[in-house]
Amino acid sequence: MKSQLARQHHLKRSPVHEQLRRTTNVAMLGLTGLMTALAIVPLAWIMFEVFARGSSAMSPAFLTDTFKPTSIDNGGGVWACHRRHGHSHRMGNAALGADWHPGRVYVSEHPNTTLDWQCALARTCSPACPRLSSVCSFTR
Amino acid sequence: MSTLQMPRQLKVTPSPLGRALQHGDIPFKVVIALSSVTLLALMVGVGVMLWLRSEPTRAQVGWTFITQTTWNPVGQVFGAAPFIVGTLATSLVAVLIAVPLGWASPFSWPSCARRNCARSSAFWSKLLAAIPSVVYGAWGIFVFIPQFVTPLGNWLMNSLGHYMPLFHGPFFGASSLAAGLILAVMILPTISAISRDVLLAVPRSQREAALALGSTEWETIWQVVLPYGLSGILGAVILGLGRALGETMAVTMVIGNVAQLTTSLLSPAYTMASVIANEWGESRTALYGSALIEIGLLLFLMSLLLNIMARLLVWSVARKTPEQRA
Repeated sequence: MKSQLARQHHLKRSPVHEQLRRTTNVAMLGLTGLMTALAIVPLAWIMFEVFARGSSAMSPAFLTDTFKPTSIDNGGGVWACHRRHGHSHRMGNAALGADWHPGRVYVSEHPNTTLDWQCALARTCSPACPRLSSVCSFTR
Repeated sequence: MSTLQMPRQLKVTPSPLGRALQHGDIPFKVVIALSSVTLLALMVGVGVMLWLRSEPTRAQVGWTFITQTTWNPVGQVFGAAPFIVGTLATSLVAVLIAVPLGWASPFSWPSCARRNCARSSAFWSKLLAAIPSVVYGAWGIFVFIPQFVTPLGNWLMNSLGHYMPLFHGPFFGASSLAAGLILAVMILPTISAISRDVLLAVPRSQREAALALGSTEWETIWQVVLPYGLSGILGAVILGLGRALGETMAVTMVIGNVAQLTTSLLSPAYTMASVIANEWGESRTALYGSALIEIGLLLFLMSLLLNIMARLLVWSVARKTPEQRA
């Protein structure tokens, strides 16, 4: 009997209590939404800054020019070719177990793969990418 | 003729070995066992090598290596306390900031499910994990510190610095606070993505039952969903903390790299990963190199200990029933 009364009392909530529950619900869900938005702000900020600052430097020459010393005309600029090939070479190499030999064997046995294309690309700027071209020269 | 041969063919059964080989069971088990042993051997090998190579420092400096606050390679004085404290402080700041933000993202699911924004927010927050740490570092130096950390640090120093040693000045931008904030952004997708996966694994019937009984959406989250996925969420936090402990490049670029023991978050500091990255190239003496390797050993042990603790924590939470947890 006592527990039944207690249950009835529990079910009969005052309007103030109901209002409090509703307010808490809205407030907490609003807070989670706000925090979700805050979590995305850094991404938007980074992407905006990278594109805003980086797009002004982007040009065909940026992607194809090799390193020039600062002492010569127009020197000291970007050398994305060298970096790009070094980076792709590292990625391909790491994927093949961080070993040179499997990379060579793989490329020789698997033409027209990503690593093969990287090697082909590397040969076009071999003076700038000596390490990569030395690896890829094994295969051709 | 063919009807007579059929029963004879059916009676031919291969030997257990032949059957296993035919279905690839044995090769599969061998490959799996080899992979497991290789992983374990790699971890043990790294630990053993770090232990052996750090022998000179352990023999000469001993336990004071952990408590000594002076790091002076020229004078051959090696104390790792500033790096240990710097690592723990930045990781702690990162976790304190990232946990509420990372948890809130999957919790906002019920409120914005109708607008289909939950998936897009999860997608965008996961994209943060794809940004290389050096980009975070460059963004931190050129954008985040001047535009956000410096005003925030100055405000903290002027308003709270007089009462709390945590925010004592002077403040120049590169600091533990900057490193902690950058780390928070970096570990956010880890915590958010794993928490979301854990919470999506909560049976839909549980949510619906709570809502049918009159619970509000927040009460459903707090009293039903959260207790159900608590172990997974704790695991997500520990994974994020593990990443924060070992992060090198972005932290090195924004923390200031000063080997000092300070209570202020606004002062420049140093972390264990940063000192190894910065000073390895100039470690000319055997003792200097050995000291850096011992810092690596400490970092390795810290990460290992953290993972063991996380596993124990997840086990202890997972063992309890939802009623016990509530």
